[in-house]
Formats: sequence, structure tokens, C-alpha cells
Amino acid sequence: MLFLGIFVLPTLCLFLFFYPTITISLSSWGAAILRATTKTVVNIESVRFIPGLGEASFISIEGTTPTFTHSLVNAIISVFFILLSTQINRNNRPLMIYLSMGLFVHLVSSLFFLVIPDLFPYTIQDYSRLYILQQIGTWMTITVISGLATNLVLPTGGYKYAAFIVTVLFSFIFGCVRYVIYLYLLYRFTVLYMAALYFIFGVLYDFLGMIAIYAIFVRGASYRMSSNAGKGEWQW
Amino acid sequence: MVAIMKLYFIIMIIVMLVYMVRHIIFTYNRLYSQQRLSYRDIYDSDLPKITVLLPMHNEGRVITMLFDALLKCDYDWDKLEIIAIDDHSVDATGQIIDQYSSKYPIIRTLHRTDPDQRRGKPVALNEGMVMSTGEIMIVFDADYRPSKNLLKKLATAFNDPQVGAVMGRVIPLNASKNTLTNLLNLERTGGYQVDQQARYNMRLLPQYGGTVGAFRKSLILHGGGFDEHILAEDTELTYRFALDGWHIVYDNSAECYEEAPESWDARGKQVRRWSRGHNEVMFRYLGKTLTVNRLSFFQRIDAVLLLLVYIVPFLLGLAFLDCIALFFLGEMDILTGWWIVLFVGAFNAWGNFAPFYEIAAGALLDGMKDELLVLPAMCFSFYFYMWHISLGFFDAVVDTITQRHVEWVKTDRFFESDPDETENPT
Amino acid sequence: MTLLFVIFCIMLSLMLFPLLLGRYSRGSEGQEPLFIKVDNTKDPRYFAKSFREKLLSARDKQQDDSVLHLSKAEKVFLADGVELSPYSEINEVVLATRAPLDIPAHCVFQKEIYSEKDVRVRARTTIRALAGMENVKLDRGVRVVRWIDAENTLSIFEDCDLGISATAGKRITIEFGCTFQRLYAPEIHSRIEPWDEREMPLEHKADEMPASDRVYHQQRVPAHERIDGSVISNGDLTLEQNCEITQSVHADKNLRICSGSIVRKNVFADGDIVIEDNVIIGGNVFSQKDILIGTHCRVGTLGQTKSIIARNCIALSQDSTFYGYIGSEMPSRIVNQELFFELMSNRY
Repeated sequence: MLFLGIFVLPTLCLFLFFYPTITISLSSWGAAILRATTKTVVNIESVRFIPGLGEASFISIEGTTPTFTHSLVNAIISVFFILLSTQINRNNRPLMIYLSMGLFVHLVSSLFFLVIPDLFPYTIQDYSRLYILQQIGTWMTITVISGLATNLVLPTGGYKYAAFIVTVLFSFIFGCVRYVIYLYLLYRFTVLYMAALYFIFGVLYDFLGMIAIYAIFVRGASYRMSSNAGKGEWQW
Repeated sequence: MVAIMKLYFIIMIIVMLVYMVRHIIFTYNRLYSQQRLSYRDIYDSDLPKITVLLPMHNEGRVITMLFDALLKCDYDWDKLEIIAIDDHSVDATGQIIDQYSSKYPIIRTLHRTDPDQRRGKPVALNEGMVMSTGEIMIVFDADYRPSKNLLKKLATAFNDPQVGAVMGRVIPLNASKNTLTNLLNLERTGGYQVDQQARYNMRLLPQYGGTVGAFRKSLILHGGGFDEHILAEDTELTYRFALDGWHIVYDNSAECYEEAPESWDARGKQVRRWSRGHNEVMFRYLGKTLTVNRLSFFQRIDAVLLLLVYIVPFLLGLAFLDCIALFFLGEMDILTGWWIVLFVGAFNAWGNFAPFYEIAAGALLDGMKDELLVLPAMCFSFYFYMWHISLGFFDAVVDTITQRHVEWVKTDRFFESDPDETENPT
Repeated sequence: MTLLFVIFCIMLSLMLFPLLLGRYSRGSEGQEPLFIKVDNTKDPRYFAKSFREKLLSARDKQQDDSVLHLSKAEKVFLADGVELSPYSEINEVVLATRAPLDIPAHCVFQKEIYSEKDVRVRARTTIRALAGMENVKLDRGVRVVRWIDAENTLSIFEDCDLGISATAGKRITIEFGCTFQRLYAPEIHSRIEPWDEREMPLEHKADEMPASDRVYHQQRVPAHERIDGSVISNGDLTLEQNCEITQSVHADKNLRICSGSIVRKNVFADGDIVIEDNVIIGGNVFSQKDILIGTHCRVGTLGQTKSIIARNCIALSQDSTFYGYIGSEMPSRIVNQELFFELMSNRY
């Protein structure tokens, strides 16, 4: 309970009550990089998030919609790779199924832009806004899940705290760098890729990182526990 | 329409959260709560007569290891009977079991060779039970290697008159073969060391798994034997017994090596078959589970959640498609509320047959170390399971609607025993 | 652009690191499957047998009489013909091979004791572990830290603490006030002089029908009733005075067997089991909580090994007999009638 009270809860509160400051800093930093890189107009806007707790800031950047040819090429390539993925690399079925799902999402996106491009409901600004809102939620959820899982399984001592701190830091840094990169990719290669970035390369990787860090620390804890005295072998 | 899609999405998040909370409770219970005593501590010189049933189909590559291990068991041979059931094998299975039977009187054979006979494990077990003389049946698949005292551990529990079935723990012998076997080893660890044990501790519903398990013959025969139309006869037994008030016991120390599938294709077929069988049981028993008097409130909840285990991945797949549709309909706002993260979190936390913190807890208890590093790969194997479990679900739906005959397909074997290494157990 | 490229590399590294972790794991050697001791056989006298085996093997290879190589090199104290004083402290493994061993009072033995003749341990002495090849007698207040075993009879006087395990090849007699966790012997009597000359009523006569395997679901068996079959309760269960159950009983909660009753086979409960005086149980007694057994009871059958197992504690009254194994997770004890009634009064 001490761990939850001293570490997890304050971290949660940090994200909850300081998200305006965090997002403005992140947006400022990201905007500076994008201005230098894209030579286009990059602004910072804000949106209401949690009532009473302030506004979240996000980067506003101009984007482009894909041309017909671009959408068609992407659709054809998606179909090709979906078919190919069913044939190759039988040793990595899960990865192939996962990538096939990604390709499927991308195919749907390509077909959408082929058929009804004007009805695509989002701009890059929309994506940017929703990304920030989701990322705040991700940081909070990672804090809670990591805190619970770490507290549950890891024994007392440095492992628990280290695992939690590294996980939160990982999620924070990853969320920030991904924000800038994804906005750049959407600016550079059009909003056609928005669905794939959201569904396939989105929040899943935050959790992958959390689980990976968790696994490392549990492994360390396991080594430590097995080195203790009293490893007697009783038959019953 | 959009409202229905949003509602479905939110319902799935709630379902995932329920499972996540369930597994957190199990993990906590396993690590910090008082563990329920198992029957294995009982010393009893007067154990019941048991019959070990060994259903086999083309198991010539592995059965000598099983026979040799069984013959070394320390169960009194006056109270032990082994019935090897050759179910329409076309390899050397029949000859091998005849050789053993001629050498050891406790081994009896049942050759099922009539091409018009129905095939499959439930049928084979039913015929084996009819010819058996034991009161307790213990079942092993052909690729298992029971330890010397495993039969005693399983049989001892039946001193308790309310025990209907006992389930032991399965441990992959080939865990380090490749990433798949490594992942399966982790799943098994979470599933048995934590999940099953916690359900036993909490007096919920440990599942009888069909191998490394034992059951009272009279209870099954009283109900007409195993249902030959259901692939998952083990799940069916679990619910049949539980709804009649019999206890299913899990013994964490009753460990047995098994051979885990070494290829994703074999694993996919296995999971698809499990999903098909489990969902057939779900269609049959969900209503009864909700209404029966013999289960307590929490047992009922656990029983329902267990029944739904092989439909949830399909529903999650639907939720994923639902998300995509909502996205293109411009409903991304709902997808960026705080709950979406819970969805993804719960999705990955639950994911497979045991979530990552259950697996970590089990791995710590087992003293695993480097094996844990493949844990992130489980997130991707979930997509694999989602696909194959969904296929199995469709199979079950078609089976139920059309009442079609179910063809039994056994899991591919990878081990091979040396036929010259038949040891003398005495 | 360079900065963007660096940020992209950071992002890619963070994305790929969980996947690469698995590759590192696959490259690790020594990933054996979880160890199962496939030739394991349970033996309640394991400690003593294992110790004897190691000791005799070490003696065969012994080059120096004063040192034995067990798990490591151990100094040896040869007790034959040596008279120890009370309040001694011995830090060596003690061997007595030719004469009975008489250990004085108030001594402390930090290592194991092995004797091939009778052993008597006087009052208030503390021993770590003892293996006796004949009879062993413990006087009042002896404390055993780990285990004690006698090949024949183990006689235990009042207020002894028997550590983890006390076993014997033939018989254990144990007096009031003793505490233990595991006991094993073909016969265990909770008084020094073995009692119980009652004719064993459990054997079926040749012309009697075998017991029915029918199961009755009820929470109470009235006094003097005979039930041919098993009784199961999904709550508490009471067997009133002088009833007889030909098979087994199970209660999902607490179980009370009133005086004079007979259960020919096993008794199981998830809650406390209270067995009043003069009760005969033919099989095992197993509880997920506590077990209280009254006076003049018998559990088990002569010539067979049965068990009394409790998740928590066991309280055995004096003047009862048990055949086989008694084990609990927490320290158990031999109680007198007064204490038994006090313990019983708080139970179902």
C-alpha cells in the first residue's frame, strides 16, 4: 500500500493535474522540431479535456489528402502483402497475422480514399488533438496498470520502484517522440496512413514496452530470489 | 447504428475489465492468500482401484515412453489396471501395445479397428470405461510422462466423497525448443501455477483438462458416458460434475511432462479444436450454469466466465472491426476517451489464456528467469489466437446448428521414443 | 532534419526493444524445463532415512574418526563410553554405536545425533535431530529443533516440542502438553501406556453386504442412526451421538462428530472438524482448518496407514489411538480434557 501511496498515486496525480503544463511543453518542443523540418506553418492550439483541470495543448499542422493514384498504389500494395503474408514465414505466424491486420486497416483506408475521399472525417489537426488526449489517458492507465502489476508481483525492495519508474519514463518518452514522428509522417505522406498509425502502431506499443520492462525486472527479481539461502530440496 | 456500435464497444471494454479484475484477484490470491491444502499430503495404504486409460491414434512414436513411465509408478499393481486403446491407428501403435500387454498383465488392450465405428477420444474413453474394473479413471495422452508417484497423488483425492474429478499440472518438456514452446510454457505456468491454483483456493471451478486428470467412473457412466458429439469432453465433464454438485480438485504438485506443439500450424489446429469443443459446451451449458442451484454466486460467475473464454477473442475481433468502423465514421472521440486505453490495456493484459501479471507471478513461483523475456511476444500471439479461436467458434456454431458429425483430429507429435529403449520397470 | 532522424531512431528503438528482448531470450542457454523429480516417492520417515544413508555411506569412506563428510565435513563426537554432564553444549555430530545413549538434562546439541542402541534424552535438553536404531525416550520438556526418529518405539513425555517431524518404525506414545507438526508411526497413542483394547468393529463379517456407495445430502445425522453410504453437506454437518456411517463424510463448512459415533471410512471438511469422545474413524481425517479429537478415540485401522491432516492445527486428547500419519501446517498439540472442552466451546 505504501508503494501505491508514495509512487503510483502521486504519478497519477502528476499526469492528471499537470497535463496542461505537460502538453504545452510537449507541443512547444514538437512544434519547434516540425517548424525546422517541414518549413510549414505549425501552431499550438488547445482543447478542453477534463472539466475544471485546464486545457490540453496540441500541435496544429497543415496536412494533405492523398491523390487517387497514391491511394490506388497503397491499396494494391496492401492486397499484395496481405496475400504474401499468408504464404511466407510460417515460423512467425502471430507477427504475420498482426501485420495482415495492419495491412487490412491500411487497405480499408486506401479504399476509403479511393471511393469517398471527401468524407474522410479527420484532418491532421484532429489527429493531433485526439492523439494528445489519448496519450494523457495512456500515461495515466500505464501508471495504474504498471503500479498494480508491479505491486502485485515484484517483491519489496528496489525492483518494484525501479520497474515502475522505468515504465512510466518509457511511456512518457515514447509518447513524446512518437507524437512528433507521426505528425511528420502524416504531413509528409498524407492522412492516408492515419488509420494504420492509430490502430496498428498506436497504444499497443506502450503496453509492449510496459510488459517488456516488467519482464526484465521480474527476471531480475527471480534471479535474486533464487540466490537466497534456504534453497533446500524437500521431497514433500 | 452508430449508437449500437458504440454500445458494443463499451460493453466489450467492460467484459475485458471484468476478466482483468478476475485475473488480478487470482494473482493476488496465489501470491498472498492462504493456499488451500491439497490431498497429496494424505498417506493412505488403502487406495482405490484405478484404471489408467490411454486413448491413442497413431502414437507409435511416443507411447513407449508413456508405458515405461507408467510401469515405474509406485501404485500397487494389485489395484492398477492400464487400458491402452488403439483407436484406428495405421502405424505401429497396435503392435506396440500388444507387445506391452503380453509382457505385463496389468496392461490390457482395446483395438478399435472397425472402419464403421465412430472415432475420437470421447468414444474411445467410453469403451475403455465399460471394460475397466477400476472405480477411478485416470487419463493420459500419449505424449505424457507421469512421474513415479503421480498416480497416487491423483487417486488420493478420491478419499473425499465429494470429489468428482482431479486435475494435475502440465509442464512442457520441450519448452526451450523455439519461441512458440517458450510462450506455451509461460502460458501453462500462468494458467496452472496461478489460475487453476487460485480457483482451487477460492473454491471456484478449477477445470478438468482431459489429461493428467482423474475422475469417478460411476459419475460419468451414470450420465451415459462422455458425449461423443463434443470435442471438449474434458470441459463437458467439468460442467457436468460442477452443476451436479461434485468438486473438481486441482493438485499443483501432480506434475507431468507433456510435449507442447512445436509449430504454429499445429498449435493453430489445436487451439481451433479446443475453441470448437469449448464453445459446443458453452452452447449446451451456459443456460444451466446461470440457473442451477448447486453453485454459489461466485462459483456461478467464475463458471460463466470460464465458459466464455473461447468466445471472447472472437468478440474482441469484432470490437476491433467495430473500432475501425467507428473511426471511419468520424467517431474517433469515443476512441480517445480514457476508456479506450483501458480497452487496449485490458486487451493486452488479458490477451491470452493467462495475462502477463499472472504469468509473471507463476514464473516467479517456478523460478523462471530468462524465459520471461519473451513475454512481450505474447501480445502478438494474441492475434494468432484470436484468429484460430474465432474459426473454432464458427465451427462450433455450424456444429450446433447443423448437428453435424465432429471429426476428431489429434495434435501432431514431434517427439520420438526409441523403440529399443523399453526398460524393465522392476 | 538530423534532429528528426535522431528522434525517429529513438522511437524505433523503443518500439523494437520489446521484440528484440525475445530474441535475446531465445539465444540464452540452459533453459531447462521445470524440474520434476520423476522418481520421487513420499516417505514420512524421509529425514531419518536420508540422514542414515548419508551417514553410513560417509562412515564407509571415513578416514579420520573425528570427521565425517556428510553435506560437508562435520566434526564427530563419539559418545560410546563417554559420560556427559548436564548443561553441556555439543557442536559436533554425535555417534553412539555400542552402548545405549543417555543424554543428560539441560544440554544443547547443535548437530544431529545417531545411535544404534536405545536413547534416552533427559529433561529440558535441546537436540537438533536424532535418529535412533532402536528405542528412543524423551523426558519432560525436551525440545527437538528439526526431526526425531526411532526404528522401534518413540516414547515422549510431557511438554516436549517435537519440531518438524517425529516418526517411528513401530510405535509412538506421546503425553500431554507436547507440540508437534508431523507424527508418523504404525501406531500412535496419546498416552505413555498404549490403551485401546476395544474390539475393532470396522471389519465386515463375511456374510455382510459391502457398504453402499450411495451418497446422502444432509446437514445432520440423528443420534443412533445408521447410514449405509456417504454423507455430504454443502454447509455444516453434525453426526449426533452413536450414529454410524458406513462410508465417508464431507462437509463444505464445519463438521462435528458427536460421541460414540463411527465413520468407517474418511472424514473431510473445509472448516473445523470436532471429533468428540469415543469416536471411531476408519479412514483419514482431513480439514482445511483445525481438527480437534477427543479422548478414547481411534482414527485409522490397525495394519493400515491412514492420515490426520489439518491446514491449521490439530489438538489430540489423551488416551486416543491413531494409525499412521498426523500432519499440520501449524504447531499442533496433545491436550487434556479441560483444554479440549475449552477449544471445543469456540467451535461449531
